[in-house]
Amino acid sequence: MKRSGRRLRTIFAVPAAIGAASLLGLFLGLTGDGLGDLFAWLLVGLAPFTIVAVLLRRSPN
Amino acid sequence: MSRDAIRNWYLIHKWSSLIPTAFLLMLCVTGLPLIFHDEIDAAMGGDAETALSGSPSAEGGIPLDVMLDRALAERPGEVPLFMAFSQDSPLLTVTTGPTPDAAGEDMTLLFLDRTTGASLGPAPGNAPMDFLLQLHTDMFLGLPGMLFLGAMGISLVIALISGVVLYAPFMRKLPFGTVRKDRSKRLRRLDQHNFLGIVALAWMLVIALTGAINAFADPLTENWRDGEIARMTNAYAGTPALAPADYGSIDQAMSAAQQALPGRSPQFIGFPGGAWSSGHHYAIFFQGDRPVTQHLLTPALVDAATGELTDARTMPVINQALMMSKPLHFGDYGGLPLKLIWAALTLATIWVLWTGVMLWRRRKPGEVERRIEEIRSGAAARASS
Repeated sequence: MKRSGRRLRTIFAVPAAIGAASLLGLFLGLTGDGLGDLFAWLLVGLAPFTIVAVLLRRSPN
Repeated sequence: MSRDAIRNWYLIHKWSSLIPTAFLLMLCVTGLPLIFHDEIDAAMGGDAETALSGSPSAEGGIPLDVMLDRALAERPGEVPLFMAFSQDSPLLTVTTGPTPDAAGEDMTLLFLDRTTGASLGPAPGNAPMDFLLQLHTDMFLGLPGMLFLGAMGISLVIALISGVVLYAPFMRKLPFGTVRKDRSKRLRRLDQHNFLGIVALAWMLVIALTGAINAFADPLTENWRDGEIARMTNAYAGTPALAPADYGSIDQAMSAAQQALPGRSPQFIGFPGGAWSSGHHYAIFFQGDRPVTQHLLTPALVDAATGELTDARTMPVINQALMMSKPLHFGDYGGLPLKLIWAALTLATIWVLWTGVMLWRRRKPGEVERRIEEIRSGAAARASS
């Protein structure tokens, strides 16, 4: 498996997206009720959802 | 990344996380029930707020002077320290103490209903939750304990940053979400540590930073009072503090303040001589008038003797950051779903800390070199996507 290393952009693409969603969600939750809270749940919830989804996945084939 | 760079970042990561680990685990374990303090208080019958009906105490009701007299009648000989308003219910709280500069442990928090004028007595205590909160805040050590835990929070920030740096070489050949379960126990832990760490990173950073800011709340507030408040009230410099017997009408002070800051809702009043005011003023703290600014408070300083406004000025940036840090750290601003997410991410943090400890244990000679090789090779990669 001699392959040139993945570039940083590839390595951090998904983590950066989850991180940005978390921060945006925290901000929306803080600044608005109702719809703001709903977006906060979805955006901040992405991180724990990803964790559960990956850990419950079958072993990599 | 060069081998030397990996070695340096590895050592930074190791020590910045090993030193605070025990304290961070304690903070996670005590923080978990504290997230649900509202629900736990309600279940234990201590939730006075939901039982009350009427307009919010921040908007109106029985005059504040009448409410304060009722509160002080419960605590003869004591002086008022704070009065706080609810944005949702008629609940009005008054904090009293033996002197205007009384310490926290000598204060009494009283609940009142601003719609009926009824005094509801001292705030119902919840011994187990109070114990957890104290442990979480300062480990029963007062300010030194708070500052120490703040330093542990800063150490966690360093651990998170160095962890991200090491994530890059480790994941060079691995797809996101790799958790290899079929090889060694150690490798599974390492993959879980990296995966949970990177996914919960933003949240953990926010909690660590806001926790650290909260730990410095007392010095920051003191600094604001001795600087900004002193400047706002320098006409009073050198005059002795106002005696509690000479405090004038709070209702008059409130209307003077609301003329200066129309349309704003009051959150609490700091009485003269306390940590949140000068020796001569009612400091009335108003929320921002838009959702974005509702957690940013603007104090109006009203002469407590005459009821005339002295000055109203937004707080300095660092103190505003402190205001925002509280809800962001507690996670209690977005309803039960957000609290459940907070709890899930706290559990993830506990697992990152625990797997970190397990990965560090059982050292043998030459271990550092082996760890560096592990990071460089992504633990000999070979996982498929």
